[in-house]
Amino acid sequence: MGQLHRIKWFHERLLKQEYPNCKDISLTFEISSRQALRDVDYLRYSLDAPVEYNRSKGGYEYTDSFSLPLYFLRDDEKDRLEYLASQYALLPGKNSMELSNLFQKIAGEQRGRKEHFQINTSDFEEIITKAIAYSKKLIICYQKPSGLSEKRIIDPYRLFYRFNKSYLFAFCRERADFRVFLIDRIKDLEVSQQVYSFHEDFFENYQLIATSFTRQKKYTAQIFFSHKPDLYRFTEPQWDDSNHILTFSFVKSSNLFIKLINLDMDYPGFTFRVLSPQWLAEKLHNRLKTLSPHF
Amino acid sequence: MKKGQKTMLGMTWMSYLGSAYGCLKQAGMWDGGIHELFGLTGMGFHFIMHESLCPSGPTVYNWLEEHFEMLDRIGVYTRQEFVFKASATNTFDLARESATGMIQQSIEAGKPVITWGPTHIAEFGIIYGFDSQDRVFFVEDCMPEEPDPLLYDNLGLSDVPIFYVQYLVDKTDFNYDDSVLNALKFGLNYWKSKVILSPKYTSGKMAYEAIINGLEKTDYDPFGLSYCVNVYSDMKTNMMKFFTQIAKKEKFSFLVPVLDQYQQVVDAFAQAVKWAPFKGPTGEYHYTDEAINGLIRSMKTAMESEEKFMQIVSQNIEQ
Repeated sequence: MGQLHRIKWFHERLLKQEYPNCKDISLTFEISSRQALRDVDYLRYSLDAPVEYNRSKGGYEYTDSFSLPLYFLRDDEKDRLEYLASQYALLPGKNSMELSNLFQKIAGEQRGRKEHFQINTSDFEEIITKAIAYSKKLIICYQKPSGLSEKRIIDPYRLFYRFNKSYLFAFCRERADFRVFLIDRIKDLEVSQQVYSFHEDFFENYQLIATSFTRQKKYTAQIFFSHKPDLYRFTEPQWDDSNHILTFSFVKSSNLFIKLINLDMDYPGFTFRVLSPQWLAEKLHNRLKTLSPHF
Repeated sequence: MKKGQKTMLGMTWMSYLGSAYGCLKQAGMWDGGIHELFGLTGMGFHFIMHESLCPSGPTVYNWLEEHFEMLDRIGVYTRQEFVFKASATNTFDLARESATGMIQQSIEAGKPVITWGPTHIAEFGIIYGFDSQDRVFFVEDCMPEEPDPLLYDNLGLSDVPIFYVQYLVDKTDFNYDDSVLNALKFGLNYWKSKVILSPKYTSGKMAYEAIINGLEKTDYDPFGLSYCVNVYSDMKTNMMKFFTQIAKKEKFSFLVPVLDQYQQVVDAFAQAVKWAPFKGPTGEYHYTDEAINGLIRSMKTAMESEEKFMQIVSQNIEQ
């Protein structure tokens, strides 16, 4: 008998206020008491059932009304929903966030609760899907077009298909920038226990690099900062400590502007000055002029 | 040093026409209204749909041939470059690099350049300036926000990787009535054409049928449907103004009795826009059964009315 069947049986007895216990489950289904306890835990923690042990009755009871969900998801199905939740969370807009919450709700468990996850497959795409859902870094051995392989530590963001091939869009720690990896060229893969934090430039880089495949170049800027900013917030950052100049790449000036304004808010007295390109300096200057009446 | 004068697109949903209008105005080669440009160039007859009702319809036609002829009808001589970045294309980068100097020359001569995809939006736009130190072109697209400039290195590398530029070379006089006649013939051909570049695209009357079929089969691109309906509603509104204007001329007075028919086309599209409002590229597009039925009714009305209008055009210009 499967777990679903046992939980249904247990639930029916709880509704009838028969105060079933682990021993009853164990004897009825010929399973160990430990396994029966796991069934009760699943009902209580995974399905959020208000189940409590009543000492005076020697069994469990519902302390509030409860119905079993109409369907049960396998772990791999939950992983897929968690993956979708994580992907929609990356997209801009209220609708995307609502969908992310919906998928998370159906999946049941919150990603934050899970520190470790089981890998029961050697399929790289399956493993990457899980790593994305759980925001785990990956250590990959990646074969370059020349045939040589190199080790990379990456933050996996999104799997996608193009021309019948699977690709991974990820943030490469070595390059400090977003990259597209062909799955067929990943020769080895290891899931790190380190959790990565979401890079704020994800979406614009994904649009530029992964949706077109035309190898469009990014803008390069040089900015003087009075304090050293958090370099992880930029892509391809090169910090000149003696002159306090940061050289980095970016995709959209509007998003960079928001980032710079937010940096200013993080550090009281923080100043910056765009050294190049000229068009960016002018554009930001004009944006600031339109905002200045509000401050 | 920054060079060039900021140039805006004309106010229309059709990005090629809007770009051409902006460039022509800036270059001093056009002083008419945008509706007149729609009509004289023949662009206002471009009613093209993909069978899936995807948003590509309005920009799928023979650019080189038609863009030349369109501006030729208003006496403007143009040069164009077109290279599609297919995997087997070797000279794509050469074409882009060699064009950089030509674009700069055109801008320095006061003539902005019409181009494809100067930003991430798959539409036509304008290159109106440049800064050689920053290695960027200053561009304009059809969105309200001021776009970031285009890196020289990214010229032609939009999400639909076609390197396309059209330079305005010079202007000559043209016979207005002859150009109207020429545009009407072009429009009639589009109305009757069966295949535009690919069998999955249809134009004119068959484009209406494509919309109706797609809606009846409930097999369509919901964003594309809204986008196309809005584009063509704007186009047909402009054409109504153009037809009203030219119908005052004796040579084209045969249009007077059927202007009401064309007004019904415009009204039907205005109603269709209400059923399929545009919510931007990231909006959600859902249609109720009422909306789908309303759209089908609108398209059938528009098709019947435009058919009657084009019959009169045909009878009078093919004599």
